[in-house]
Amino acid sequence: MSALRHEALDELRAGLRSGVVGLIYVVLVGYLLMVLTSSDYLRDMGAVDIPRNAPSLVYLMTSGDAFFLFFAWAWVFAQPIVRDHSARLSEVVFAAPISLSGWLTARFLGALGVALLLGSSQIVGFLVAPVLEWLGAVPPGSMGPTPWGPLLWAWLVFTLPLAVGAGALYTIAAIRTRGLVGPFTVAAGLMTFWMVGMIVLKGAEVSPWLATLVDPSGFAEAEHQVEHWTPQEKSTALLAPTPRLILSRLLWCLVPLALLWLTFRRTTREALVVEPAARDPGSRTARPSRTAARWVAEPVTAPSWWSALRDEALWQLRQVLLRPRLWAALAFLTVLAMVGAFYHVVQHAEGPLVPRPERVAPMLTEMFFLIITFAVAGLVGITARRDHQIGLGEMFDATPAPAFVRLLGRLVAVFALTLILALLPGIGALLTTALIAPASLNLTIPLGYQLLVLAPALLELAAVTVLLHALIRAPGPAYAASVLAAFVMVVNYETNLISYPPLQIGIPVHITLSGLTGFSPWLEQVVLSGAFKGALVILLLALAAAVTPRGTETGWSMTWPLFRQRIRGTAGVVAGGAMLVLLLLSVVLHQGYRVKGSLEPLAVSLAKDARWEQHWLAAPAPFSVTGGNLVLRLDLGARSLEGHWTITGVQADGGLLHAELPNGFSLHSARVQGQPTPAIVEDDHLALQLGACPTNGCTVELAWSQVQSGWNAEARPAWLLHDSYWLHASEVLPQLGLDPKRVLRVPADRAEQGLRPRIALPEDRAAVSIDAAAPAGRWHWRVELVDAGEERGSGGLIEGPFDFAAAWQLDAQRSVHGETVFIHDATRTITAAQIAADLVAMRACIARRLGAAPAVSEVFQWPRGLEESTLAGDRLLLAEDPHWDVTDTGVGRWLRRATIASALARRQVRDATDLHQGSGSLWFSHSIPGALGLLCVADSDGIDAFAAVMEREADTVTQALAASAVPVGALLSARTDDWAGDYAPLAALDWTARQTPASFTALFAEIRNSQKLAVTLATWVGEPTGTLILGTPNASDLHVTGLPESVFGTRWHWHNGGWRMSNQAVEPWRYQQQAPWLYLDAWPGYERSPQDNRGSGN
Amino acid sequence: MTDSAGLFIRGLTKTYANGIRALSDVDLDVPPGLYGLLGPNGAGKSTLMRTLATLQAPDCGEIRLDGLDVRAEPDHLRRRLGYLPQQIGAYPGVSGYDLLTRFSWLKGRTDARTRRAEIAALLERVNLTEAARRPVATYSGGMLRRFGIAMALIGAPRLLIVDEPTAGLDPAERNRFHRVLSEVASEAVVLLSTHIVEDVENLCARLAILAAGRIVVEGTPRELTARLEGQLWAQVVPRGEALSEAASASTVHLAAVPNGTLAVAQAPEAPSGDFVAHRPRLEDVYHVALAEAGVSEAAA
Repeated sequence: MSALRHEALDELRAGLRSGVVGLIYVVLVGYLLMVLTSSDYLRDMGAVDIPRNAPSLVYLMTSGDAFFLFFAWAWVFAQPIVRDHSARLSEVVFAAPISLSGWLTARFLGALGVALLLGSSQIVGFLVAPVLEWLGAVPPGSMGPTPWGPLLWAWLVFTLPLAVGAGALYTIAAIRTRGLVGPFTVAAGLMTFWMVGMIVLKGAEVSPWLATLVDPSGFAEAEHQVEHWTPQEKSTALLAPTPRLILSRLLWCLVPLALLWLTFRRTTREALVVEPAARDPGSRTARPSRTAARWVAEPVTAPSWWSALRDEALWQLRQVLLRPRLWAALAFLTVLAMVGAFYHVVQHAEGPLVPRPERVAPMLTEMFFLIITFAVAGLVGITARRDHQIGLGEMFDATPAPAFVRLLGRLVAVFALTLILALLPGIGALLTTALIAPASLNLTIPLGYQLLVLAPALLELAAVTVLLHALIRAPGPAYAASVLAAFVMVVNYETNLISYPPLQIGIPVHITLSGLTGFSPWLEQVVLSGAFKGALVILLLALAAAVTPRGTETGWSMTWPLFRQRIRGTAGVVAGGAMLVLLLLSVVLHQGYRVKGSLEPLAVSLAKDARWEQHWLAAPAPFSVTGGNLVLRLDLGARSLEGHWTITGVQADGGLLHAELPNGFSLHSARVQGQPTPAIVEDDHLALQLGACPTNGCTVELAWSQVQSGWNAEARPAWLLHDSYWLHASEVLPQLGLDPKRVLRVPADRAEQGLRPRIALPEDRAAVSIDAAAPAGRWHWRVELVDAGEERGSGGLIEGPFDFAAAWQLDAQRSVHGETVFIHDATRTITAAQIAADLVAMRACIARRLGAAPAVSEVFQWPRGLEESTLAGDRLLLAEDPHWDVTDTGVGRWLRRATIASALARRQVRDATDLHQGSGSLWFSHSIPGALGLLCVADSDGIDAFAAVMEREADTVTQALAASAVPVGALLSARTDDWAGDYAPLAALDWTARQTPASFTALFAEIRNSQKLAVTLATWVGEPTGTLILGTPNASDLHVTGLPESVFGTRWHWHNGGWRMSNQAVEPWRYQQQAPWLYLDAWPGYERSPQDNRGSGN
Repeated sequence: MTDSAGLFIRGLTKTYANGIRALSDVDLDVPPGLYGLLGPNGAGKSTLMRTLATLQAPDCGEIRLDGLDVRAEPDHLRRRLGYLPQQIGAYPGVSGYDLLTRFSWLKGRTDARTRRAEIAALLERVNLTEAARRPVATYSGGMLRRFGIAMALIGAPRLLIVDEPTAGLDPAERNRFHRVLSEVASEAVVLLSTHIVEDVENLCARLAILAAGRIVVEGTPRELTARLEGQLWAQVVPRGEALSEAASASTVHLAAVPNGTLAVAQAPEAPSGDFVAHRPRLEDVYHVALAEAGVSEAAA
């Protein structure tokens, strides 16, 4: 027993001496601290109003780190077998008089100690985290008390079982293969399980049970629980030991342990010592050359090294391409891609969706980015080190072939390998579309996406890998460094820690593809970014060429003189040329992103908004207008716009007319009553001095230009292209008034910018209009194209809030259904007909419920990523994603109907009330229209559809509340682009369902007259309902059980970051009197689980 | 040997970064033919081999091959070089034929027809024609060494450097290897570095003994053994008995024999009555040279 204890301790000491512990701790602790300092990333994780060392983050980081530890643990658990084998001591060790299974167990336990130490790096990271506050890297008060309990719980639930189970599998593989190949293959298998669990099963919301069971790390379960927690729970709760979590941990721990026990019992010393006899491949006899016996060798003279390069490149390519295992792995991944596409698209919970290439290719690229990145790092490393064999490497170095022959030959293989991996998601997308939606098959989009977007990023990673392997002679550290580089790139891809696109090495440019516009909005950005990445690749490879050793001398003392010598030659010329190109392109990219584009660091945006608030919010600014005339001239070639806007009847308290300015706005002139007037343009805001206006108001003229040739990094396409335009007035024009969305809501942001803690919003009459560039009036508008015929321009008259849309694209299809024209791409003709039917049904519903519905003359397939669906004038801009991708049945279609109905209702409400974005306006802009959308689905498709749509929306609300980027407060002052936009329709469902067209009309008229939204609403609905409606969120949970049918439930209020149960009883009522029906609670809150609210009276 | 034919080394010195002086002012004239290089572990033989193969740069010194300065034009030497290191590993997933083909164009055989003919001839020469299409990873130790010599012979090298080529080979493989080396030596300079004195004795026209980075002895086997004629005495000491003190002082090496230990001593006359005249062999020259150089066999 003593000898075996020594063996276990010896293994532990060997692991500690190996350096892997230090390396992992530096990387993982560093990564954790980096994440904790990034408020952007924490904001995305819904951790904005919880301590940065909150338990929820402990669970996510601990389980998430397993993905990186897979390979580190594989190395650790392989060492007991590999170490003695490499040193050729196996025979000596196994000839010793010790129990073999005892020895194997002891070594396993020693390796497990090292693995647990590695897995505990998160504990160290969170213990060290308070130092960030001391250093000033995070705001004071960001760190809470040390979460000892959650740290220990996370270690017990995630780290310990996975280390034991995975370790058992690695050990079995090491015994079988007696090398690193087996354990690393197992690590790759675990990664694949993780991918299937996280991306295919969880991402597509197939089944939380399956996702948790398949995922070895436990991250799926951790995320599933945390994303439904309130901030209070995130700050205090222990992760619940749900049945599926317990079963998952037991499966991944005990099953491998059982297999390990069996393996130990069956393993013999012979199996560990004796080399397996090589299978005789049935030696093919080489045909004897007729000249063999007579041929006399002559010395080499005048070799053609370019021929040698060609032969070398082909040879290296064959080593990559003629590997059956590689193609088997790629085939497997392709099948996995198709399965992923099926679940994420065809079977999506908000579908079914048609697997069109513009949707599937980017989705699969994102899904597979992780595994492809690590595959590139590993396989490129293998290619780079292929010649590093004992003795053979020296023989190769002693050949006369110039260094460029072997290096370029390897690089050809690296290039080919990287391209193949880059194409993989595209092939999966093509096959999926070909099988399921062949009419939508398009080769250009998926292959173009992979080659133009993904390939340059992967080539960057490949070049970094080649450079690392050239710099680091020893294989272990070289592979570790390249995997670390891949890890850093993946981390940045996930967290956006570096947000300036040219510096995002190894990360694809973010674009969104539309069936209408394809690559045209992105071509310049993608090509120039690709060229930048290409130049960086060449620079890195030139540096690699300069440091690639030749000979047997090693060490940094040899590398530096070698570098200095070679950089004076061809490598230096190439590197210099690449740097010059990088410099030029960086200027061009800076112009595109920063000068002309909308890319702005968050800190700069916050500072702008803070200055805006300090400068303009204090003074009174209510205003009114009567109408005007707008002319926009678009120059498609220059991608610029010139605007001339005459606004009549302008009256403004305080003598200033305010407007929020779009990106790229440049004021040419401002006149009041025909005279030039001073205008302040700063921080994306315009303030115009009106002076003394006559009693019927001033006439203001604005002339400006906008350049739309810049880029952004959020994958939002430009609306003005060389061959089309997609103009929506409220997004393009200056918006008259003050925008409440600019008020900073996060207390830490306000403190950092020196603002008062109390949040004050603009007065109702001073705020911008809802979904309009200007309040109600009589508005003439015209859009003209420079050097084009009239058929590409358009115009009209708006009587109401000023909003309109105009669009044109040469290749767009037009189909007519009734009196409405549908503009779409060639593959969506059938979809257009389905949308036409939806539009007819929803118009009828809205007319029935509101008394009237707006006319729709055109419906546009609004390019993916441009904006949400809306009705602008008489044009319905229906977002391509997802509404033009859904099939004719299922949840997706119901959601589309709800969206159409909501858009119609919102326009109707907005026109009737002439609302500004004031306190409480959200109730009218989102709550009522959104609720009407849901009710129209119930009317047209029945209770089952209603319940399904409500279920989806309820889940969205729960997650939105948990992931809110700002602290959850009252609806009165909430922003529409956060949790409130999802919550408001469900909270209004009960009240809206009880209203009649007449009651709506009266209420809207009252609002229009008074514009005091909160007061009017409170008067209309009474108290305490008025306070409940516009206060913090409320929730109900009704259950229908028993025969006879009975309904019971509970209510909650949101309070201080979490739900507090209310002592009020629920008031269930039936929506729809005929069976089946749905019970709703008669109060302004959202139903948490509508599926169990159904009754049938039977 | 003409003035310029052969390998000419003067003042070659190499010190590693850790301060170890591996070569110290080495001078050698290596004529065409087989030349042996003997020495204990750590003598600097591999360092010398690697330096000649342009895999390491010496601190100073001159190396000329057939009159051409190798340090000034290393690529010129590489075109004429065949190098077989002490160990070669198995290249995974590649057949012997493919690897030879690749090595061939890296040696400058860029014409495909000439390349194919040369490879076929070499495979036949080293008796690997039948195994050529098999993966190198399946070769036995002897096959791997033969494969290595085939690689080294590509391009009809003028200078062939072989470092411990027959270590681990059975007698038949060793004989085969020796025949190949002898054939090559008829037209090239073959530098054979080895521990096996017998190989040098049987094959090499000239040899040098390297110890502690210096050449301690150089010449033909006959010349070197002749110097020790009449100076060596041998005694078989039975097992369990000790050598006399007088004899120990002049003993140059001890060897195990079936009935005890053979002690060979160097002295003008027999150290004691038990000693008989011993005919000097190259192995004796080796041990005497090390002793005269002050390199202890224990340290070696």
